[in-house]
Amino acid sequence: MNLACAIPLQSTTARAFGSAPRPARRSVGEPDPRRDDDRLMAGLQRGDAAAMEAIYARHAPAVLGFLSRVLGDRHAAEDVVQEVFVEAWRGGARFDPSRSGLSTWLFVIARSRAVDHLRRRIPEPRDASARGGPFEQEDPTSEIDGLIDQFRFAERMRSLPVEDARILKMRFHLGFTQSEIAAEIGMPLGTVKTKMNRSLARLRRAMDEDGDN
Amino acid sequence: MSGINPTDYLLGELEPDEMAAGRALEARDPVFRAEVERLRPVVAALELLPEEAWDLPAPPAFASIGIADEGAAPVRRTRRRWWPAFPVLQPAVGLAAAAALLVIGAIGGALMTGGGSVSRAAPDGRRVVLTSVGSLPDPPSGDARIIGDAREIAVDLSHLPANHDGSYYGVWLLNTDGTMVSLGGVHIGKDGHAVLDAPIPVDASQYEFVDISLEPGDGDPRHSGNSVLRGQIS
Repeated sequence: MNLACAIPLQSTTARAFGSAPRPARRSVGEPDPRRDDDRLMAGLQRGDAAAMEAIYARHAPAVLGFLSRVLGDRHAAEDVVQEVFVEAWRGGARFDPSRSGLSTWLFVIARSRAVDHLRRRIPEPRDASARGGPFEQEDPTSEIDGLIDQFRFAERMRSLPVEDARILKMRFHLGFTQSEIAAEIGMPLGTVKTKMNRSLARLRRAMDEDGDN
Repeated sequence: MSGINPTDYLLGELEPDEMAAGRALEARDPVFRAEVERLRPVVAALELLPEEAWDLPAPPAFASIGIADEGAAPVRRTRRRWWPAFPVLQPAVGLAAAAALLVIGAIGGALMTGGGSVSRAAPDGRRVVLTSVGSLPDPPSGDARIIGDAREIAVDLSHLPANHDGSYYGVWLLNTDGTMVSLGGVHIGKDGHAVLDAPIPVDASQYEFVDISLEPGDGDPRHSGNSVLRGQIS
């Protein structure tokens, strides 16, 4: 058991396609979510409720999205997201930033609580003598790690400028081409492409910084 | 690099002849190839994002989650019941002591002692007959008594296989909807017998079953799913 610790959080998507590591360079003025997280985490370790509130504002949407998807129940997900952040609040002093980033840590907690919740849904504990009970046979964790990758990625998109994120959404979610996006929002095609290039590069940097290669 | 934009190439937004030129360029130009490979995981990730990830939900207000009004450092904080929609305690934590004869439910401080050299179950109280739910060759048996205002439980267990390798037996209250609370654990010796008497942190009458589970002692506080005894609270 203790699956949350046993399964590392890595980007399966990135692994599948491999990567060409390259030094990341952040543009002047570009937000640095990781540094912001480090600052907030230091506040949390001091027991600063304002830091916790900022952490909640920054990370709760993605954690809730993940939990909603895993549990298939928005109300249950809202209950569990509260458990996650209260646990983070109470365990903040023990958080070791050298081992993982704040987002990774929160998703580890969320994963654990989600598995907990899924297991609690099974109403009848079962035969002690049977090998491999339903928890093992119907392991609810098998698809969870892929979802964590996806929602952590979604969280990274929140650090992009609103317009850049909108362009990504139009391209990758709504299926517009860059030319169609340019026409739709009344922006020169070259500008759309520049924003697209910039967004992809930023997301790549964020993946590098989170160790998701 | 050539005039082909790696992003356009990755997005497939080139004319067919340009795509062919892009493929050739990728094969022969290490700089172009490196850039394509660098961005390819990003494009793949974006293409795989589920719909919910594009419109992340708004979480409950921070003020509602029971943190905002707690001013002290988290390490000094006392546990609060803040999950009103789920009126049970979480399973006990800190079960590293599971191998010991005495395991205390971390939440409720339930006191349980096993191995036969213990206090007797109170003779009164509402009786819950525990029956074997496994297929052990020598089926275990037992009973529990919910005492007084349902804030105390006495359990008498017999014919349980002895624990090995840090395993122990967990005592739970649970409902058919899967909600449960750990009351603690006990190590069973060769005599297969234990008598437990414990104050409990919840109202036992709010639960449908008393459940005894075999826990592997791996530090995971959750129910293992391996029940050996169970009885319905009438």
